[in-house]
Amino acid sequence: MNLRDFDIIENKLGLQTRDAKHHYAWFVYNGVTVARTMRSHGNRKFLPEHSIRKQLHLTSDQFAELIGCNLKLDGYIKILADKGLIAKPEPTKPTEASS
Amino acid sequence: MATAEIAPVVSSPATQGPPGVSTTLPEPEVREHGSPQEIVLPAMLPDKTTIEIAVEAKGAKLSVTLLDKIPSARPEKVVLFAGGLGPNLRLLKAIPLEVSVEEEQIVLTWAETNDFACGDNTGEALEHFGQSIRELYEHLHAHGVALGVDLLRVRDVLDRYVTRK
Repeated sequence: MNLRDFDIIENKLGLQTRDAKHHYAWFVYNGVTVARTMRSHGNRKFLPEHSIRKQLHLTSDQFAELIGCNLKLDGYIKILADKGLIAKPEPTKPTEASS
Repeated sequence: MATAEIAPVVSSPATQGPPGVSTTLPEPEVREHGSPQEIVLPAMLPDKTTIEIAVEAKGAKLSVTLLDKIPSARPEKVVLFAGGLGPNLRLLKAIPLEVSVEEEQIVLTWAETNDFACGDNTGEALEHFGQSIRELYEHLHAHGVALGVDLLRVRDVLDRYVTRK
């Protein structure tokens, strides 16, 4: 993965970020910090896809879909809920199913 | 064909007499393929990366190992992080990190928490790991921050290794 892929994830999931020695990103759902990841500063820095994927609790296929177009925020929330990492969202309205 | 030259002088406590007395060693045995100063080594076989040659002279044994690659001083699989965590935190025990090399970068991974750090070399990666752990600790212990189940687990793990000074 490259910096652009990281930015896609950051924007798609609405990660809260903080720049210090490195660039830290946190996924906050309903006021609860659920997952985190990070990358080093600099455009040419290597990003360990495997480690970032595991920090976000995704399989390889799900991670590829997240960088691509198929997995969006609601799909990510459903994945976390299915894994018991967050409470299942209330089905007040139909959610867009991720393929 | 590779060749190596070895000076026919062997010095050891066993060959050194009292001051003023010198010992002349007999000439090393002339080998089949060369003079005493030149030892002819067999050609490297394609499927061999190491050749060991034993040379014996007056009871002393010299072993020469030829390597295709210079061995790396980098730890093969695991390194223990025991570096600094800034003025406010200290380690309770060393953190075991898995070492891997990806795209010429050293990647250190703490499997228990899935934390990682990268660097051009192991030292830089360790420094980055310390910075990340410091940031993680402060965030997970910040007042008013609610944590999900996995980050609560990560905080528990972290508390076994890191504490405030």
